[in-house]
Formats: sequence, structure tokens, C-alpha cells
Amino acid sequence: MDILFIHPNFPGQFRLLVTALSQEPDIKVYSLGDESWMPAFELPVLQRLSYDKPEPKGVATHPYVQGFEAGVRRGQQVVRTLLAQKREGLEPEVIYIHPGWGDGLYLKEIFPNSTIIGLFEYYYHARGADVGFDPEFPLSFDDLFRVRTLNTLQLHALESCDIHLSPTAWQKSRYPKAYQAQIQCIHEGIDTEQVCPNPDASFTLANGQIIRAGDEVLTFVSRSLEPYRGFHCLMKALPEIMRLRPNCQVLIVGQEEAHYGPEPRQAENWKAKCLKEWAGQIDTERLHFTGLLAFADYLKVLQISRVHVYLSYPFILSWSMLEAMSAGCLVLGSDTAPVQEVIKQGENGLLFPFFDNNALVAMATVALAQPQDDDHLRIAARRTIQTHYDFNTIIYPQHLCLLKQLEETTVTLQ
Amino acid sequence: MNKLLEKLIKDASSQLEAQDFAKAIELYKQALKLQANNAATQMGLAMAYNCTGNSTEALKLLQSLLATIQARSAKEQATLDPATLAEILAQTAVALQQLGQFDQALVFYRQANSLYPSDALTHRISQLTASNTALPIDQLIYQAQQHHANKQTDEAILAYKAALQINSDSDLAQHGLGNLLREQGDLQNALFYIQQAIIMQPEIAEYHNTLGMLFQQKGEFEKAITFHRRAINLDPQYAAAFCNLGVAFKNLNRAEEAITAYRQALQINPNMPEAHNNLGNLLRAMGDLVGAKASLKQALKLIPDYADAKRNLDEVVAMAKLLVKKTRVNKSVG
Repeated sequence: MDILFIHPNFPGQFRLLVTALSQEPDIKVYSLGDESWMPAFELPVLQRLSYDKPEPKGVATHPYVQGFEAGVRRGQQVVRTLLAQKREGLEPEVIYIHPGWGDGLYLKEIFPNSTIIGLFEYYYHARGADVGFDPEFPLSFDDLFRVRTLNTLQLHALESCDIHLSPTAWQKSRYPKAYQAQIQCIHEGIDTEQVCPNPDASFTLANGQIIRAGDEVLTFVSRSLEPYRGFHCLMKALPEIMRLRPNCQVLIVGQEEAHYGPEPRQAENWKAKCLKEWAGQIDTERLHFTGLLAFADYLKVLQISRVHVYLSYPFILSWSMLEAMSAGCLVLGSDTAPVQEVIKQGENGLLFPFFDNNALVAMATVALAQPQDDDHLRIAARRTIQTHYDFNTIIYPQHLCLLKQLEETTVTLQ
Repeated sequence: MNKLLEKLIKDASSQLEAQDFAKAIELYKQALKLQANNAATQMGLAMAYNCTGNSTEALKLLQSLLATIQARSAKEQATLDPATLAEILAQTAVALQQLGQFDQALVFYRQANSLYPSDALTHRISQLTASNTALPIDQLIYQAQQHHANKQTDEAILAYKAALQINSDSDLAQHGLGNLLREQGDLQNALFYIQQAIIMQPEIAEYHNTLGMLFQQKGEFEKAITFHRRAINLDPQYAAAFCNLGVAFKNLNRAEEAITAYRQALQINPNMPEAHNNLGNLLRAMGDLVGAKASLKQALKLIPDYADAKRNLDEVVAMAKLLVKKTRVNKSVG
């Protein structure tokens, strides 16, 4: 079976799946992504294809449809590249795509017999989810129209994909009701063998200081340090947490540039803004920003964590929260819907109201002071990930089953 | 100036003083037709516009007046009565303030006050300075709600507008201001703000109920019913919406439905004097004097000095007496 993976930022969400499928003897895996965007990712058996960065959007394009126009340009770029490959004989039975950037817009036109499996991550709503969730950034009149148009690519993809996957039940529930029954819930998966507790772990800070598992460490991880992931809430709570826990080290992992939302108005980034806001109240000697880390180092941060704080607007659930649980962290999570789908209060973690600073301070200080009291939560957290999100034993078999069904259907039809 | 023009301006001015703004506007417009650039007419019309919330039109007239003054020579300008010029500046400030341009309004108020100081202008300046400080929007809205509750209408409007200056899409401020304008009878502007609030937050029952009340004020009772029902759909325990629904039905002479609505309101909140009074009044009109008396007594039990309920109860008692008298007469005749 030939399987083509398309993701502009390949491998993106498909990293574990591509790696595993590449090792299957009867499967040949191709990948296609944006040459200017893809990170270095090589597998010996992977047929790696790429397209040049699409032309930028038109100058006069209406702001609401700029994303769609960019998607059309990307979709065309994908068609040009794949047509050339098709003439060389490429005829994938299955195509996995992430349709969020338009790569999959015209696949059915050039590969009408391929089964297209789409990863449906998020359908935007002007109300009831991320937009307008934070009173600090209220819904604007313009948002109502912008957000509706934002889903154009998703709607095309819902129609053109044959199989629809969503990583979580809440994310699935965001899609229009008419499509929900078609969407299967299969998470990207966590490699729980790799992401596991390590009582001997240590992490060396930029200043040379070594922090070890068992030390009093509060951790926070987010690709970008921004309000979507509650960075501003954590920073607001830190002065009091650090005052009450004078030996606590705080490690914050993530890049400074915002990813999902805008940059702040009067500062270079959210980190700078928050540091300025809380200047003199946070012990910066004990606050460590690591930037983005290589996976191995990131894993060490999780393994030395005594308390891991995770916040998210009602939005795509971060892998980092599941990885933290897999690493045996005690996760203090915001009580927002995507988090609540995984963390059950007092069973496998602790939840606090997203905007309740006092609750975060209280829970964090107690958990930092008495780590042994929460060991059962750490154990349960890891068990949750092993039994529901483990790639090798849960997720990968689901994909294999899906592919087997497709193969059988194809054989029957022939 | 011809006599007709003189009379029109005088009459318009009297209407303005009597606060019959619609009449004043009509007369000033007639005067403008006779002499387009008459300063007194322009000023009077601008004031009337400001009083009715039509600040955009007011501002156009005032800016034109100020431009005419500025076009005059310095010598001519010096002969102008400072009180008149101060009034033009102050009215310009009022228009700007109503349009939410607080900083500019402040400049004009100050200019007016320096030309012709008055307590009223000083008060306006201090109000605007206070509201113009960087209060968080939540605090401004709270302040506006407090002013509204204390019937300090001008202050409430000012605070709501200041909130909307911070976030023009705040549904709370839009609804608050819309409701206030509705109470003031400025239905056109109220409609805009309440509709905007509903667009921003369509799930809030209160906003639909307010819009229903606005349509009742406009005499559009069918529409009012639609919006009270929407409010009830969103919040089935919304007693006030049931009560308002009853009023709308009553106005359409759909008495049975009105009674049902009032009773539903009372089922949710038995301590709702308006619902008891409305129900009693309607029962009275339908000839159920016993039921009417019971409801009205209940209303008065909740608010002993409820004038409307008292009046209605007096009428019920009078009707009952008349009925007894008639019955006796009929019996004696029989």
C-alpha cells in the first residue's frame, strides 16, 4: 500500500504515525510539505517530496479571505507537485492530510480513487470557545464575521475527505453537527515508553545550575508563551507562589513569539509584558525561561517537575499536557473543556478555574509543599495516558485497523 | 429680519424652553428655509438636536457656525458677545461628548468656561475629567449601572459612553446605554444599541426582553411578543418577560393570553407586584371583580403605596358597589 502524508510543516501531527508506518514491510510512505517550512525530518525509507513556498496573498485581498486565498495558492502548489509525481507513477491508495492550510483542497481532482484521511483539529466559533473567552480580549463585532469565514478551508475539507479524524472528543464537538457522526476520535498519540517518569533526571540551567527530580520545581510548557495557553495567568500567580515557596524554582519552556493570538500592544512579546508588569514582585533568580528545547531536554524538564501548570483557552489540547501526565507530573490544569476531557479533578490531576488566580496559587503552593500527598494523582495521570493515548498500544492499532478495512474494501470492490 | 422669520425663531425658542423638541425642530427648520445662514436659527436647531440625541446633525450646524465666526476679522470677532460664543462652544462640546469624543469635548468645554465661566460648565468639566481617567471598562459599566439605578441619567450615559470608547463592542455597555435611552424615549438610538448587544451576545434573555419593551413603546406589540418569547425561550424562569408578554397581549386585546402570561409570571415569582396589578386590572376589565380585587390587594400588600394598584382597586370597589346596587334594583323590579 502506498500512503502519502501531506502537511506543510511535515511531519507535524503525523510524526509518530509516519515513523511507525515507514517500518511496515507492505507499506510505502511518501511525504509532501512546504520546503520553506518543514523541519529536518528524515527516515531511511521515506520518499520525501516538497513544494516551493506558495506566492503570498494578494495585496487587495479582503482580510477575511486572506487565509482562504493563501490556502488556494497552497492547494495549487500541491497539485502542480503531485501532478508531476503522478506522471512518474505515483498513485497513493491513502492520503493523510492536515487540511488547515489548504494542501488538500484539490486532491480529489487528481487522485479520485485515493482514500483521503483528514485530521480535523479545530473548527472556529465566534462564541463558546476560544474567541472572546478571555475578558481581557473580548469578542469584537468584526470577529463575528471574520471567524465564520475562517472555517472555509475546513468546510471544503469536510466535503472532500473520505475519513475524518479528530484528536479529542471536544475538538470533534466543535464541528458542524451534520458532520460530527462521520468524525472518528483518534488522537495523534503519545509514546509513553519514551515519555516516562525518571527519578534520576536532571536539567542544567543556562547559568550552570543543575536541578534534579525531587527538587521543588514548578514547570510550565507551551510552544508560545501567550494568553491562549494562560501564560499571563501563570505570571500573575507567580509573585505569590514564589513568595510562599521561597525555595521553588520555576521553569518556563516556550518561545517568545505568539502563535495563536496577537502580540501585546505595548511590549515586544507577552513575556516582556508580564515581566514588566510584575517587575520587583517575582524573584527572577528563581525564574528560568528556557526558550524552545530539544525533545530530550524538554523531557528532562517534565521529569524533574514537582508541579506542572497547564492552562488553555477552550481550544486545541496541547500534546505537552498529555506528555506531562505521561511523564508522571502532577498537572494543575485549567478547568476548560479540552483539559477536563482528560483530567478528572482529584483523580488524575487537579483543576482550577482559568481566571482564578487565588485558586492557582493555593493549589500550587500546597502541592509544592507536600509532593508525596499527590503521588496517587501522578500515577493515575500516567495510567490515563497509557490506557487512552499511548501511540503503540492504542493509537497505532487503530490506524492499522482503519487501513486494513480500506484495503479489504478495495479488494472487495475489485 | 422679516417678521415671519422673527416669529418662527421666537416660537421655536419657546418650544425649546418647553422641551417640545420635535415642535422646536420643525419650527427652526421652517426658519432655516427662510434664511439658511441665520445664526440664531442654527444655534437653536443645534440645541434641539443635542437635546434629542441627534448629535451628528447638531455638530454639523455648530461647526458651520464656528467656521463663520472664525472667517470674520479679529475686530469683528472682538465685538461678539462672550456668552453667545461660550454657548456655541458648550453646545459643540455637548455634541462631541454625546458622540463619545470625550477629549475634544473637554477642550470645547474648557474654552467655553474660560470665555464665560459658569457652575454648569465647571461641573461638566469635572464630570468629564473624572470619567475620562483610565478606569477599567468593568468599573465604568458598574458606575453607569449605579448612576442609572440612582436616576442620574446624564452621568450614566456618560459612563456608558466612556465604556464604549474603551470597547465599542461591549454588550453590557451597549445594552445598558440602549436600555437607558429607551427609558428616555430615544427609541431610535436605543434600538441600535440593544440590537448590537443582541448581536454580540444572543444568548442573554434580558437583552431580548429589553428589545420587546422597546417595541411596546413603539406600539409594535406583535414584534414585542416575539422578543419577550425569545427571552422566555432562553430563560424559562424569567418572570419579568412573562409579565411584559402579558402587557403586549393585553395591548392587542388578547386578554386570555395576557392572563395566562401574568399567571405564569406569578407562578415563577409570586411577589411580583406589577404582575398582580396587571392581572387585577385585566380581570377588572373582564368583569371578574372578585379575582381582580384579590390580585390588586396582593399587589398592595407587596407595595402599600402602589398608586396604580390603589386606583385600580378603587375602581373595582366602585364597580362592585354599582353592581350590587343594580342587582338590588333588578330584584326589586323583578
